[in-house]
Amino acid sequence: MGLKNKSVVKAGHVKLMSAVALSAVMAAAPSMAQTKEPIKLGLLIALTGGDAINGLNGGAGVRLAVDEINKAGGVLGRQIVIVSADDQSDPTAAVNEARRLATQEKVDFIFGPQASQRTLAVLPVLTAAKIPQISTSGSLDINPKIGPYNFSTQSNAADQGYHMAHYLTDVMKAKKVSILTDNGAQALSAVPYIKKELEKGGATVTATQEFPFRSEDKTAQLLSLKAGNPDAMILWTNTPEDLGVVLNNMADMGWDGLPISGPNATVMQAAGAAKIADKALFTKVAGVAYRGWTYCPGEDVANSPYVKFKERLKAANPDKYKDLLPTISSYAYDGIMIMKAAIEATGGTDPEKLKTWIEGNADKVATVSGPMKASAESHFLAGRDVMTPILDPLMTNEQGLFKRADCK
Amino acid sequence: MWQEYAIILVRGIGLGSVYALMAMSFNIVKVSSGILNFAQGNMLVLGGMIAYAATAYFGALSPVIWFLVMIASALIIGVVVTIQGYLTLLPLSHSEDQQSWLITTMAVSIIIGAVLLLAQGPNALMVRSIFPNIPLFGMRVPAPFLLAIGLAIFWYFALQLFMSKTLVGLAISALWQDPVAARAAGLKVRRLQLLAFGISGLVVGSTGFVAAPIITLASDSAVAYVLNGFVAVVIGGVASNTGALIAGPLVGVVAMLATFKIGGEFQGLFSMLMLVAILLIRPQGIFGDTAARRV
Repeated sequence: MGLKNKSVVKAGHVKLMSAVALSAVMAAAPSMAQTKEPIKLGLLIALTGGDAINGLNGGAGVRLAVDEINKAGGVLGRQIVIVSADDQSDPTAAVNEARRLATQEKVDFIFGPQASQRTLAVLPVLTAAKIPQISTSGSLDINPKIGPYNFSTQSNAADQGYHMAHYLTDVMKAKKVSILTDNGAQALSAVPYIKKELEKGGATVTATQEFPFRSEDKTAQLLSLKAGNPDAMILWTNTPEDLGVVLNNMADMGWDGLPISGPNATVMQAAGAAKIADKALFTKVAGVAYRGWTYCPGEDVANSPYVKFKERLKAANPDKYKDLLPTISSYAYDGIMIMKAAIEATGGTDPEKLKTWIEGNADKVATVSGPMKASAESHFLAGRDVMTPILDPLMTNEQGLFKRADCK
Repeated sequence: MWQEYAIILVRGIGLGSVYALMAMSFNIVKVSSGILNFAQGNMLVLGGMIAYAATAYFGALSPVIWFLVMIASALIIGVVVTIQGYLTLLPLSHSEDQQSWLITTMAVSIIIGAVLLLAQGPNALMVRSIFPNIPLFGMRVPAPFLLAIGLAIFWYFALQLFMSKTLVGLAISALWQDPVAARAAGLKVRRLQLLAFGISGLVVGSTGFVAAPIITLASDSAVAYVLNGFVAVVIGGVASNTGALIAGPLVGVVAMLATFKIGGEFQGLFSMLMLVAILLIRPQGIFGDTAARRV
């Protein structure tokens, strides 16, 4: 073989190597591009309709979480982009928007909806599409069988009901209790569990009544309950107007001394209710709060995760912070942070891997509302231990934390 | 025990008076132009928002200021509804049979709801009454319930006098009987129809202001008032203010009694049952008239 032939062979070798290298680069290019594609988060909340107050606050928490994640470099180097959807506080609209997010927008995961009726409506769509979902719904009809990829950062109705009932029986020593709820799915699903827990605590239920959301007057319901002569009341409201109207109606009837035990929403909505109801009417009102929002005298809470979260939320929303309920924003924020941790740990957005990881590892994620945990049997991340009763939801310390009812 | 029924009666009539006032404001527009103005629910809410704004601006209102602002509220909403009426009637210039008002009145309602949502957000505005609660039957009744009853009676007599004792009112009544003949007789139909829109605005504007502490002031709350007002119109009889005055409180009291005796879940059901029963037994409503029509 002559020199010329050698160089021909060498040139051919170089060409071959170049082609291989080029092919390798070409082959790698799409996958590299793919891994840098943003993660699409479908924000399926109520921007309009009766539940838009939840959407406003939940959306603020989600946006803060996404902003912090993206500023810190994203998840696995990928930025999160929000695809917004308005469920209009309506289950039918929620289904349409869920379908759009799943099939047209092809989102990687979804935050929302924020009410049980709507979450129950969208579950078939999102389960069929295998889209991981963080909702804030507490109905007991929501479970891993019908929603394997749905997790909720809202405490479920039974766990809230447990605290509501046992506050009255164990702390207030009530023997006869009446129940008044709105007609939402969460409240109605809680009633049987509350009755069971009241009976376990040695109390009897004198009567049960319900009212439509934002109805102008609850006097008829209250008069009917008063006839049973209860010594305490379970009151499940989800809007500040309803809470304020019930307290005013009770005061008009001269029934304002009755101890009341409410759910998580009572804690969140009390400040709004105080716009129409006198503050004195709240002194006998208890609610159920996430432990992260609470304090006992003597505890150093100035740097608690929730207090720091509120500061960041305020900095991110300087103009509208006064209209926000940081409590609602906080567990929305926690939901996104749990999903972020799951994506990082599993290396992607595979729904099966995310589901398994969250079921086993949610408690390892630092959250601001309180320690969250899930299992294969329950996807309610805020379990019974995360919640605690508080008394007088208007009485907060300088950091805006609620005083626990079990403080010594 | 009787005190409980008495309280239910007073509060039911008070809340029902708001429905009655809605029904009366429906009636006057219906009489003049055959239109059911679906935007009136939001006009009621706007009246309530004026009460909220007045409290925010002036602080606790004195009764005199409250009365003056109530008149201002009625006038403002009256002008707004007149403009809305003009826009609604505009495409109807050439045919009375067009049904475009269905779309235009609903569109105005949706636009107002959307503007309210953008302006104030999803939260309901809450207004405290400047008047103390009234002791009655061993309990207390918020003054706006009683004021709403008084306002319903006032507007009933004012409208009855206007419609039966003034030339303009009689002319509007003539439109209900035969608009073509009224036009042929030289009546200025459009002007009368706009006046009717304006009067309905006065009614809902004053109602929203007076009842602000006991109604829900939110971007999505108007539908319930339109629905209850409509039920009162049908039960009382279309175009009958006497029917509206009776049917509105009837709806309010029956809903509260059903809640008290049977349960809150049946509150809406009984109103609808009453509506169905009336439509089956007396389709023209309790005080409605049947009219012969050449076919």
